[in-house]
Amino acid sequence: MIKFRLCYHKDDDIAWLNQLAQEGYAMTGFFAGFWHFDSCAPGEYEYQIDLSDRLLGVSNDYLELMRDTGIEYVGKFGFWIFLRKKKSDEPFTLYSDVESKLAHYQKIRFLFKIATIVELICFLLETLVAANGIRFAYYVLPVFLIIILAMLNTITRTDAIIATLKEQNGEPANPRRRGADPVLLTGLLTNCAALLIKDTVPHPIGLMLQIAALLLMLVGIYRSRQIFRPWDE
Amino acid sequence: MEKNIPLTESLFYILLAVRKPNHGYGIIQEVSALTGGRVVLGAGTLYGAIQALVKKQWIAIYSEDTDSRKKKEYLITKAGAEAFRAEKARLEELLRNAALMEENRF
Repeated sequence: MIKFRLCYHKDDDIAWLNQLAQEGYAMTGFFAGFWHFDSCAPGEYEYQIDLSDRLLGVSNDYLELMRDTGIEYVGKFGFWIFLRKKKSDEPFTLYSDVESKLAHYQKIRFLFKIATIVELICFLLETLVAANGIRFAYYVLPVFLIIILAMLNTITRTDAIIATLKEQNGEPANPRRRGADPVLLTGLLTNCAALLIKDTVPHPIGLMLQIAALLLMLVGIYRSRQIFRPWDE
Repeated sequence: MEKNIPLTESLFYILLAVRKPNHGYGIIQEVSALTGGRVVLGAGTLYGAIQALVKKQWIAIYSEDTDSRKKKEYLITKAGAEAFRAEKARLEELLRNAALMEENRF
């Protein structure tokens, strides 16, 4: 059986895979949003998703360690590693202490930060393409926007997880942020770019850029909401 | 010489578990046995820790057998043992001072 589902948050995906395993479908492969399932006994497997340090392949040490601890390597896509284990009394967790959990989520956050910047650059390039008269580029722009917003959402949720873990670790969760939120700044810059090129490009492009700028600024303001409640310090 | 930062509990026990050559799964079992099941290292935690400790040169790969069936084993290094002893001294100081709490009647 093949299902299509886009994934933006690892924890949601793990819950989904486990729920399907409970219903008798075990995940056996993943490629670009398409998940492959085989049938299994209900609740036979528990799934986990790990983050690799490298893009291509998995190290032998990693595979050996997983094998020795009874964890089956199901597959890999990009930096994501899919693992499963036969269901047992103990819950299947990869990270047993706060410090390693924290490091894990910080790695995820970093990955998404880079991906978002790349998507933003693609969005701006696509805007230029559309400005040069390639009409169908218009239709691609909203898709980029949605992807960027989804990634920003993931980063915000990961930030919340990291803050909780930091508190458990005894570190202050929200050190006083110096300077403005990067998302807010990007929104401001995009808005300036939009205003600059407003008269030289067809109307829909200018509008697209301004909508993008507005959305980025709103997200940036949401992320900096602490500044509106200084008494919470 | 870097400032002595306290070792996390997991790193402390991993260093202890490789005082003699030991492999991944063996480390997990030994740490669990030593702590009476209280500390059960996750595979992800252990993998990350081993990478970090090898990079810091506190543990090293014990000479691998050319026999492909043999698992890769790790052994603590001199630097690792020194770091461990420094942590032991810190913990002893904590325990010594902890005795002072008996002065309180609670």
